Amino acid sequence: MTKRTLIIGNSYCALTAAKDLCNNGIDVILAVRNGGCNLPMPSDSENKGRTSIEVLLKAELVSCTGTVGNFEIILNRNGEKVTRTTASMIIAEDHVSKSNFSSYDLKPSSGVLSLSEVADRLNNSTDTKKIFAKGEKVVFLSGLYQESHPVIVEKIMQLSLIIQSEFNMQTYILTGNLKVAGNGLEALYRKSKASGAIYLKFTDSRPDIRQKENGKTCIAYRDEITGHQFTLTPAITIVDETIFASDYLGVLADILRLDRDREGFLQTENVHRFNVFTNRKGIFVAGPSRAIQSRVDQNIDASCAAIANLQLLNRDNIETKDTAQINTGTCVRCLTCYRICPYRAVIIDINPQVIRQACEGCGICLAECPRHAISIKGFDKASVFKISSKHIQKTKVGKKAPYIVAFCCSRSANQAMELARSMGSKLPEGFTSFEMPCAGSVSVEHILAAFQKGADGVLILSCHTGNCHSQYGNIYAQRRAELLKDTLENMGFEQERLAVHTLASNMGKEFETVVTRFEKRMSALGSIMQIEQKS
Amino acid sequence: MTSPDSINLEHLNHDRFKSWSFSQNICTTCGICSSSCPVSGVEGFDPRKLVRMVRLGFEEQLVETRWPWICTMCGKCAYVCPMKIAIADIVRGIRSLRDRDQVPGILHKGIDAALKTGNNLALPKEDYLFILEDVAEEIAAEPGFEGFKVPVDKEGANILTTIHNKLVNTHTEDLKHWWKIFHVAKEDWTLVSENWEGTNWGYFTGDDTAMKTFIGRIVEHMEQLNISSLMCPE
Repeated sequence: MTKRTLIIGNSYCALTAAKDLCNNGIDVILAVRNGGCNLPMPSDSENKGRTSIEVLLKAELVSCTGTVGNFEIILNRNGEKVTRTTASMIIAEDHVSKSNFSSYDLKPSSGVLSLSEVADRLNNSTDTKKIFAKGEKVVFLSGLYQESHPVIVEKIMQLSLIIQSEFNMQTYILTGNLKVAGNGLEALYRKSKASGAIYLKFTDSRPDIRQKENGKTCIAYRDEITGHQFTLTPAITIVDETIFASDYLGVLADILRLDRDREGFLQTENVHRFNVFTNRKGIFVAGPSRAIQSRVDQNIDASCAAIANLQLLNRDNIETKDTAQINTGTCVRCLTCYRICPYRAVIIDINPQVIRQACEGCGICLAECPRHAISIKGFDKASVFKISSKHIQKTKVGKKAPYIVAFCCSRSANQAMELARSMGSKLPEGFTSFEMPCAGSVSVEHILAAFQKGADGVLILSCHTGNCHSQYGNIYAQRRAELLKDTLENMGFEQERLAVHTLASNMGKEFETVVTRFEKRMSALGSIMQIEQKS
Repeated sequence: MTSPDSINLEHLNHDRFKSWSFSQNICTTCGICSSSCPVSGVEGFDPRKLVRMVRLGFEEQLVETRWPWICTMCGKCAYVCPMKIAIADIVRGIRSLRDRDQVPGILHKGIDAALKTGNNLALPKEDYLFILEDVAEEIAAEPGFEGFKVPVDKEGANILTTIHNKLVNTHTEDLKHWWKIFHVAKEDWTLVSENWEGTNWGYFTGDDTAMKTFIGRIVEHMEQLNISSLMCPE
């Protein structure tokens, strides 16, 4: 595998990750779509000539084919087509801040500025003298009409500190809930207060803010602590901002087929994705592309992404042992597998194909394929027949105990079962279990096969909601069970004979409870054979 | 939108109390002080409000209000304050800002008396000495304390003690306890005949000059009588 990584992004996080990888022997292509020109680009001396860093400015991703270890990418650099190959990718595009002028009913003017504008002007020393005159009053508006974010609060406190101490101007911070739950924010808050900034907190009331004809504001409010009525006519009013995921993330998600969260960041709320993983192997997401993050957190994320990337690139073999296989003779190219594969491991060639490097063997495709054209070694429904037959011979003959079949997800319920056994739990006599790669791989055929072989009840035991490694596996399992329950009822069986429960791998005791209760219920319902005989 | 009695925030001098090192600026307005204060609510007193007014620079109102005199400076507020703001010290600071003749009656008179006569009650020396001897005689009448005498202005004694004016006025019984302990412990101790006041109202009213004068008197006694230890039963 080539040891080269493409980093997409204009953030400090992207740059830090690039430097980290260079220092660890990985060649880096840094593609910056816009902005980023003022980022301190890594120099050759930092790199010491061991690896190559190629910086592509104004370069936007256009397409990506191939898979982990060998992605083929096309970038549009200022109208010019650039083609590269890379083993992996890290996405760290910065978030964007939009000023909340309209929520305060204000218009930008010489006396009403946005937070970013003030930050930019403070970086430009000649410009700052024009707007910041000694003795003038400066007002910050923070989170009064929508909840603020610690990253914004940090920015406000830093700017207030500079204005207060370097320009000797009185700053007032009019704030709703002040969010200081972040790295070093309590200390910064203290420092800013000690420097002379006055915080005016509003919980029950809101200040009356009006913009005068000269563009400056006139503020009237009742101090919630002293009860006094106050007026304020600041020279400058600085309006807070809301942070959003970059639009570019939407473009990247479409091209790279990445899952997004509700806010549009490239990481769903799934423990298995923390902290820098996406649904695709070899594509990592860091810093401001996965959540709103402060500079400190972005640096940490950059290192985490670099480490995860190194671990992947240093592996001898990145193929999964037992992957899904498509039987081209049966496949009718309906593309169900292509659409539902959470890892995007199915590509469309002449026929759909599973990429061995990207497939994680979850088996969701196997269960969903309408033609039963997909198999994974050891997990087809035939194995259910085999084990069930043996089991029936052993336990069923001459005994009344209900025969219960449980399909257990290998990542959670199966481990919970092992835990239960090692803790000495006694599982019901007629209980048998099948380890499945994911609850999402339990097909309707698996369940029916179990009933066909005389199961009195069938349990599907999956991971908790939001905890599925394959993101949707437990949801698929739930959905299939709901559909099948109706069918069972139509066939004259009780719906309760099929049940889905969620368990975590550390819930041995709960596993025992779930199974025991289910067995009791099945005992009460009686053997499934009686129903068959009756009908 | 602007009510007629509203205050222009910018006209307040927020730096008025900047030189005070009581951390008043870092108040987070949590209000734990107010809920701990034993006199919270008396005439609307609220320590949080007071700290806030100091922060904003309400000098006139703070000097005029009775709040700093309602506060007993017990210090419970400062003890519970998560930001370690020295609220009782702030109160003393505000008390110090009143003209001395505006300090509430008894305190103001007491300081005047102490500066002139050496004690807050303006008790004449003869009366004072008479009371001491009288108490000593009562002790001497008790079994085990035969021949008890009260030492006054004794040079080279081991311990000098001061007197709270109340103890030679209405609470003379309270003198006996520690005098007896000294006697049984065979302690070499003494009282002084002049400037004997041990209650420093200069401290409580924020009058630094008077406070220093009263402390200076005690130091003077110790130097003149060559005494190394002080017991201030306050």
